[in-house]
Amino acid sequence: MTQAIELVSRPGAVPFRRLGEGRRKLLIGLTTAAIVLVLWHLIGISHIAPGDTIPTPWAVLTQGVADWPMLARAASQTGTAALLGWGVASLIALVLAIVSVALPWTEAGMSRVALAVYTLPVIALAPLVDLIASGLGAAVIMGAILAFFPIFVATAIGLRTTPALWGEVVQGAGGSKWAVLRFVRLGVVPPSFMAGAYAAAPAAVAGVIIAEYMGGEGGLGIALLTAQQQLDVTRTWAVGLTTGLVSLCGPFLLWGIARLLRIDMSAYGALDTSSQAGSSSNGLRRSLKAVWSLISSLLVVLVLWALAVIVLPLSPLVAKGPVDVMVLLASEPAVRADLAGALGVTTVHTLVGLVVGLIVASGVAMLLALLPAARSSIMPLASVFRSFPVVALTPLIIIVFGRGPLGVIAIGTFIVFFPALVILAKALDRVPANGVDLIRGAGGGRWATLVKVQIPTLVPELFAAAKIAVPLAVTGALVTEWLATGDGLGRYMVAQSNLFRYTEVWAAIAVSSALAMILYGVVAVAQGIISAKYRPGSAQ
Amino acid sequence: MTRHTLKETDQTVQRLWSRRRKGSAVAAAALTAVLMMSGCAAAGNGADDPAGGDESLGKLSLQLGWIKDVSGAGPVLSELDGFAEEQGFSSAEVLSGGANSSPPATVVAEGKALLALSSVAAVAAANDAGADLRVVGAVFQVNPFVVISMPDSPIDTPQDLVGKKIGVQETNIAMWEAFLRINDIDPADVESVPAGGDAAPLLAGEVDGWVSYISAEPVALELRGVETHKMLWADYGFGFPGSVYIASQAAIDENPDAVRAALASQVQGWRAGLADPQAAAQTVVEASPDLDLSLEQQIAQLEAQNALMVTDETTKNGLLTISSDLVKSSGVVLKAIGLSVDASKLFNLDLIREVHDADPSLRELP
Repeated sequence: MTQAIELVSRPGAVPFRRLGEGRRKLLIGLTTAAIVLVLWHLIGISHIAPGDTIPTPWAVLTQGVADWPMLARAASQTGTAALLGWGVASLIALVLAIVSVALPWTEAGMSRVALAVYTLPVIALAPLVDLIASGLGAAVIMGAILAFFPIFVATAIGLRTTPALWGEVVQGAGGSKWAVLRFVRLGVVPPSFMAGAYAAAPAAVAGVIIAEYMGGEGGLGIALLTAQQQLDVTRTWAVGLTTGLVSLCGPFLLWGIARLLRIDMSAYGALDTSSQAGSSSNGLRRSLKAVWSLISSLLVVLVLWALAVIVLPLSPLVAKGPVDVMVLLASEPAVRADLAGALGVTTVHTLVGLVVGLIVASGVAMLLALLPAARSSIMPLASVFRSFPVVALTPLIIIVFGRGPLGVIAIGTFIVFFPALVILAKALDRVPANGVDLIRGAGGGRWATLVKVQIPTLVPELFAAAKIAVPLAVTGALVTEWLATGDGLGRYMVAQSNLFRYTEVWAAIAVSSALAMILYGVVAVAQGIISAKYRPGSAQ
Repeated sequence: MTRHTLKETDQTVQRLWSRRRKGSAVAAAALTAVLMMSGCAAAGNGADDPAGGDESLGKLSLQLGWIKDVSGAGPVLSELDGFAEEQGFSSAEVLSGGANSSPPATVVAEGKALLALSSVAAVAAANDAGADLRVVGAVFQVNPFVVISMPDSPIDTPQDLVGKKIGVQETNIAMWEAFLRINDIDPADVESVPAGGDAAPLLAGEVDGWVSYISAEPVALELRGVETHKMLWADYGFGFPGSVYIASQAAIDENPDAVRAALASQVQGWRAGLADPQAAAQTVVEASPDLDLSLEQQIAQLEAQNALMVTDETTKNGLLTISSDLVKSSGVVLKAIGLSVDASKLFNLDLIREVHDADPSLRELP
């Protein structure tokens, strides 16, 4: 309305201003890219990295052009597997999400299964999946496992968020529960499903890369492994960057499709589950629910595990169930001690990555709130790196930051930082408009807005970000331990499987999953308490 | 509208995670997921029987311990040069391995491959855990492990290792500690740091020494013009065959013909690599374009490997055989690893002897 009036009163003004806005954004984007490239180039030519582990962008580009046939072939192989895995995950997630809404009694179980799948330590899982289905099959399964959770959660949320009124209208007109599902709820499937699929596409690529890395026949994972093995730093960078580009293909395509079909995905942030509490439920009740959710999730995992051991085509030598593991832990104090020691190390590594990553992310998010110009150029970058499969980058990070505590912190931070930044920046966007108006009206600037309105909003969102980041942080810790520090559960799993001690391997898988779920639960409880305290109806 | 939706979303997330529901839902959901997973697995799993078939011996499945480079020249050439078919198989499939894929011993124990390239220690550990595997031949008579160091601070003898920082890959830790114990060095006196497959930390001076195969990093570094100092473990009491062929006792009992035929095809494969390293390396390189292997490096690696295969034992009895001395010294190494097993029970060397007896032309080294 306002625009129409403006358009009438000042013909040409609005289109011009829009063009100017677009150009300004483009300019900011290009400037940022240029700054990044110049910095990178300076680091490259300065040789500050020991052993010349950071080549210049030009060198990497030249290498990439020279390697183009190999990169294209590897990328298409990885991309195909990722697409298949993503497709399988989409189908399963879509069906399960619809079932969970149609049959509400299945919902609790399914959401717990989804969480359990999300917290599985992929590092330990990949070799087992490789035993069940080698080659392309293994890659597809790994891709599907990593892609499943975002799609399921987003779709299920979408299906549930149908305004109750619409449902009542259909039911009032004599429609059944199925009619509500068909006419009202399925209408929200495309945007929410698209949002989930968007987040899941890079996850599928990451899963495929891990599968390739652990015994594939080709693809980007193998190309990376080989480049490292041949001490070819520049090629490792070239393959790494190609991997990043491939993992961005999916989101880019989906974004294009969504725009073309005029689907608005913005309301369904997939994993970005906000902490905003409904005014009806209080913090204590939410915390109790989180505790119950945690306990029941752990029970679901135990049942799932016991079933998997029976159903999966693995011999009893390799497939050990919860009972085997409990017997082992009860009878072998030495194993118990080893496992407890490894768990302690992994817990420290996880928390270090989580805390540092969150601190840095909230610092940057606040900075971006003060500098909207920088924000519009940095956020796309954050989304880029959010999708980057860190497993592929780990060896490079280790070379640059070393194998000590600095390396651990760097990798953990890298894994947690970008997803957390995206959540926190989005949260700052959602700051109640009337709160901002109030400050602005009283003559307060950006700084006052930040301190009085945005930071209080940020605190509960930190817990939402932490919740999403917990499984990622655990994975990061395991990868680091496996590749760099040689301790903790990451080392334990690999070492035990080389010794054919599969009961110990399963025990470590169980313990690291439990670590992720318990940390997730603890954060959820804290979130319940904090969000009740921090937002006394400020949204109203 | 947007704000409304968001708030609804949040409430739904809470409900999604914390709803109290019947226990049966849990089991049903779990069952669904498991069934779907196994469904995917079945779809992705091809022919499982590594040596089935009636007339012919069926498809030969071979599991490598590493990627498809010349470290697996014998298996790769047995597939590509048609040796497997010559020995009566309908086809051959070589499964790539890697530092992080399932251990070859597990793959053989699970029946996913008839033969695998593995180590004596892995077989001992697997049998200790209830598997029933046998070493049926050795590729490298001389153990390929070396400690490499930079010429300006060389590590010459095991005693030089005390107080040094050495990069060791996770999978080699047990072997490494055994090597130290055999030389009366407490593993705690050497600072062993975990390593990836890249000797960059040695070049960067992060570590003083690097554990690798003589045919791997030293060759790669030499091609880059970096000379390294090498200490071969085999020169210091480490009499342990490297890269051995393993099979399950079940396969040996049920299908000894297939195991013999498979071994014969492997002898042919490795002979081809000995006869013409350049042609063999070229075949391997061209077979896996995605690995982007360097031909020059692969030839050099194969030549370094060949030197470990030609000994008095193999000159007399043929490739892949293992002398009784080597079996004996393997027992010493296993003990140092901490595996108290009867070494002689880990080996079945009858099959490889029968292969060479049946076709004496295989026995002569090219």
